[in-house]
Amino acid sequence: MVTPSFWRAAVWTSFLVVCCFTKGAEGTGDKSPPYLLQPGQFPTQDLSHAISGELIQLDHLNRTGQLRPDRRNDQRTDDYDRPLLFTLLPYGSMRYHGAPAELRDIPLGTHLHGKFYWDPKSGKDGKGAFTQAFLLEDDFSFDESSKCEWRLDDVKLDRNTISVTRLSKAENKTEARPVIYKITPATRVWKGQGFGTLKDLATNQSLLINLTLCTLKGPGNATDIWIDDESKQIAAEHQIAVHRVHQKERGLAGWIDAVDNEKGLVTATLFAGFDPSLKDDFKIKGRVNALVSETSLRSYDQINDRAPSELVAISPVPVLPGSSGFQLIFKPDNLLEGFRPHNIIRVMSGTWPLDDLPWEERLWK
Amino acid sequence: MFPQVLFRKKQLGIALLAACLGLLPSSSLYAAGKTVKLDKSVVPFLSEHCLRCHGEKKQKGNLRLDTLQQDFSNPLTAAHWADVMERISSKEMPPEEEPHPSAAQASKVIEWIAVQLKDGERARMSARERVTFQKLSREEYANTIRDLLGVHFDPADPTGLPEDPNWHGFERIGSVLSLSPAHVEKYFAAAEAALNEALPEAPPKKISIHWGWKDLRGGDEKKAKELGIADKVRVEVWPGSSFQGGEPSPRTIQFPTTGDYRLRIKLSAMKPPRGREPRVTVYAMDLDRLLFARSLSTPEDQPTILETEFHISAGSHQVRFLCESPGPSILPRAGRGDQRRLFTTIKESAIGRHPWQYKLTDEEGIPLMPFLIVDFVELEGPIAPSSITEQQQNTITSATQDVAQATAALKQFAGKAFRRPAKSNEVNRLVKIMSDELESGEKPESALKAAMLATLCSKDFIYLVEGSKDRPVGRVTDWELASRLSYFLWSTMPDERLLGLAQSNQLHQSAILRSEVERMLQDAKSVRFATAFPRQWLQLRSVGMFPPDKKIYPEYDAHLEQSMIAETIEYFHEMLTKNLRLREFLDADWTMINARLAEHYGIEGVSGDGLQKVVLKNEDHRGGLLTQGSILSLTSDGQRQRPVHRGKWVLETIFNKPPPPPPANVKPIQPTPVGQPKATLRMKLEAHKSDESCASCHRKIDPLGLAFDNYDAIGHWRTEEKVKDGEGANPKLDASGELADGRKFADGSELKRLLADDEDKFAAAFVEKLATYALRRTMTIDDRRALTALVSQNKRTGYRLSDIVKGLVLSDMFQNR
Repeated sequence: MVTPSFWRAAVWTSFLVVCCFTKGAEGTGDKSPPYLLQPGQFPTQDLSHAISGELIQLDHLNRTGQLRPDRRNDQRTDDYDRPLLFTLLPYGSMRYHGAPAELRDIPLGTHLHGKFYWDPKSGKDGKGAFTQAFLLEDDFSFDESSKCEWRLDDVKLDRNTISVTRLSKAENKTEARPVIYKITPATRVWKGQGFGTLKDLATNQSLLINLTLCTLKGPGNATDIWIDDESKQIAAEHQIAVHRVHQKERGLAGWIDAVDNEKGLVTATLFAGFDPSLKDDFKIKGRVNALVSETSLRSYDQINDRAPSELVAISPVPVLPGSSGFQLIFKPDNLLEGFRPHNIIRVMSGTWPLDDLPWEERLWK
Repeated sequence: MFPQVLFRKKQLGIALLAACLGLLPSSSLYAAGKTVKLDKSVVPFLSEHCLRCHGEKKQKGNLRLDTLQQDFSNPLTAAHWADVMERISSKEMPPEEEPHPSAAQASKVIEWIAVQLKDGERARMSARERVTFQKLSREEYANTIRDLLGVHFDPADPTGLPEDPNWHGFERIGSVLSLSPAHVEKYFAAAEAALNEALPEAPPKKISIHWGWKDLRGGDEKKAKELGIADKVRVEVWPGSSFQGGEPSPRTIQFPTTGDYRLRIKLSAMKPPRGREPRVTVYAMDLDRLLFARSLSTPEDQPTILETEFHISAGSHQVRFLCESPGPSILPRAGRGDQRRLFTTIKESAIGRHPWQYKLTDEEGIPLMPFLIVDFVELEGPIAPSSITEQQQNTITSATQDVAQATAALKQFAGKAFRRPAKSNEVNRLVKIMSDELESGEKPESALKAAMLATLCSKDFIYLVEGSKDRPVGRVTDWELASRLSYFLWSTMPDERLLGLAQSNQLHQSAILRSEVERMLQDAKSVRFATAFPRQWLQLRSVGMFPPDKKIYPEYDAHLEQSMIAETIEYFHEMLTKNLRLREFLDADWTMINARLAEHYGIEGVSGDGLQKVVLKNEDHRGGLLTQGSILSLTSDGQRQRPVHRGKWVLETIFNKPPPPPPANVKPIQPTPVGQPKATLRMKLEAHKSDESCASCHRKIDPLGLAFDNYDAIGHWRTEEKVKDGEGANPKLDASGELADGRKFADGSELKRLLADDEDKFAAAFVEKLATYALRRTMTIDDRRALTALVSQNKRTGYRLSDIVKGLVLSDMFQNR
């Protein structure tokens, strides 16, 4: 007979192991000063700080939100659950269901794995905090990018639990001891091209699991479980389609590396975080529309304020963290005031549909 | 009461004008009845090809050619011969079933008829009555009013005078300048307006306006005060934008009184390092009149004050203040200023500039396009409601006191206005008008003005009158000579000195006349001759008549057009003041250009808006009139160059040998068929003139135009022709050719040298054009001897311009009628 206290101990032990998968997480004892981002530059290497937590508030227009960080055993209990207000870096990206995403695509309550950079002006008393989000991804995406899955060891429908072990697909071995997640009648089971039920769960299945309420009352509750490759693939394909539409309607974000005022040329490097197939829509001598944007990636009025341009050159550049490695040189019909080095722009292929954005998204009111 | 007075005055003026109209030249012709002999080539042509159907036995179409008069000065006869020419030229005659003449035979006959028609027309136009009335052009009218009353009159305003008709560009030909009854009221209104301004009945109402940034652009004054920048805010004016900050819409300004107003604009003018200077223009839209224009550049922190004075009529006028410089379209909001932003300095304002606006300055604050930063606009006036001299004012005031003084004053005024002593009956008539007005209850000043109004509406003021019943031909009087001279060189009435010499009957003396011409040419007023003559001779008013297509020539704008015209006029002025040889009109190594034109010609090192003499190099491809932008533009159609027009212009303007008119059924040039290589206009013309009858004339015309194919429709140098139709690369241009006399040339430069070598022919043509302008009539066979003498007289010194002008004045031709 397993007692509740045993469960708690087992769960916490498992959770702490999971936490340690993320590099440089708080509580690792790393006392070196935090890495500071330089304006207008991508970080030269991934020196981010990992924090996981549940999305509890979001402002998708301004790319800000709040996480309730997962509890850690190096924390004082007073610091548990203290919300982390974050702002996505202009080149910060999100992944959801294994595909690029925007904040608007992530349901509240989703457990996210984040990479953050230090903002010396934010945090308690303005003394700095890791609030600049570089990457946020759901468990699905996190596991997929880590090339990991969960092996279903046991299902206890009467107890509303599943016991799973994290497997490294690359190394074909287990990475930790089993974890027990809670399932509820609200847990969605994705099977084949549609929904399954909890009864479709069977041992030895390779699962991807999205969680909520992690570390609050145990390792977490499963909100979604994908039980086969087809369902995982459909989820990813759908999200990538959602994001493609989003990017085509708003343009790919990037920043300006240089402006040749005399020749009227603008050189810009696009940020990472979009489906690479979209690059195919940019052709030399083709038309593009460039939009000046804020760091929130919001533009003003893309119908009236775009700068129709000719794409003069496309060059690959080193892929630094946050960069797509995709650099464009374009010649606008007229240079815009916002076309200055380090400023943020969005670039749309001339073949993409151009239409107004909803009022709330536009900076021009 | 006032309307009644006005009505009475109007009736008076109209009556006087009607009387003068009755004295206008009748249709009887000086040269009527003069016949010419049929040319040797014409008689056999008519016998062989025409008389079978249009002779003694048959008169098809009711036309009989063997008895058709050869008096080409008779308009009816000329019309018949023109019809004959047209039908031969279009190959309508002889009909298909009849034997056809060779192209050379037909061409000879056509040319002969064309020459006779031209001579006939000249004879008709130069016909002289016993008394000749030659109306002042509207420019001369305005100048005369200014010299007589001291007030400006703007004849081109909608309330001014109708545009003068012209004959081959000349706007002073007496037989062309007629006065229709519909225009009589215009002259009455013009005279009344001028008198009211010169002699106002009440102190004029004045305005004094100061527009600062708030008035010009608007904006949040409260915010400016809060920010402590209310006294630092300036208005940035984008290229193509009005001072208000948007489309070039005007401001409505209420001018309380007709008169001269002073405008002051304080601004900085920002020039991009490799771009043009910004250009400020102030334009009265309802009057279609440019009040002020200046290109300039100043440092941002060293604003300058532009000041100008202009004359404008009372009332509400739409005035547009513009930064007329090339730049992006102002239609999207990105291309214009925004009143929600408060501009102070480039550096400070760059922070608050909207990121979606077009980029005004680079990262260092250096302008990327020309723009203005305006502090204020001030307008005040009228600054001199009446420029009539104090002496004149006193005379008028005392004239209202008694009849004797009024008579003396009116006599003096009418004498000046008529440019000769007023006769006693004329003075009496004016005095009676004044008396009648007084009797009807008018104030003395009003009554006097009525008499002065009658003077200004008189035929002797509006017309230059020469001759009399007793003196139909022969020498003109000294008074008439003074007017001829003055209107020739100054475009206005004679000054006191000329009138004094006329009074003492000395003006006709050669030595005195020579010294007067020299004095007049040195006077500032001679610039009117140096402006009006080249404008009319070279037909410069056609520049811009077909506005160049903005898509093909986006760089063409009003400033370029004005600069082109100014170059040609200033070139003439330089030739005149330096007494240069006529051949320099055709080929020279200098020209007069400003920065705008230098940019257009691709000549470096010229700055500023003022025209300056620039020495040309071979690679500049300029020199002489024929390669000036104005001439190359006026012989184009706004889309492309017109080689045939250019050739015709050279023949007509430079050599005074206009070609015969083209037949009516000329087919248009066809576009290049799909799939064919691109072709120059020259290639298309070659195909077009395969018809031998066309080719005979085009052989003489086309080479003179094709030689300048290297210049596009706005006079821009190029080596290949941009062609839309057809396949492949744009074709290279070929400017070579052969003159009718067999001399060959490789390009326009060589042609210019060949033409300049024909100095005698050009001088003969030029002298005839100059005499046409000076004598206000066309030249006829009767003038040929005098013209030839004048040409010969100047050959020894190499045909120098100023000498020719003096020689013309001293010639019998100028002093006789």
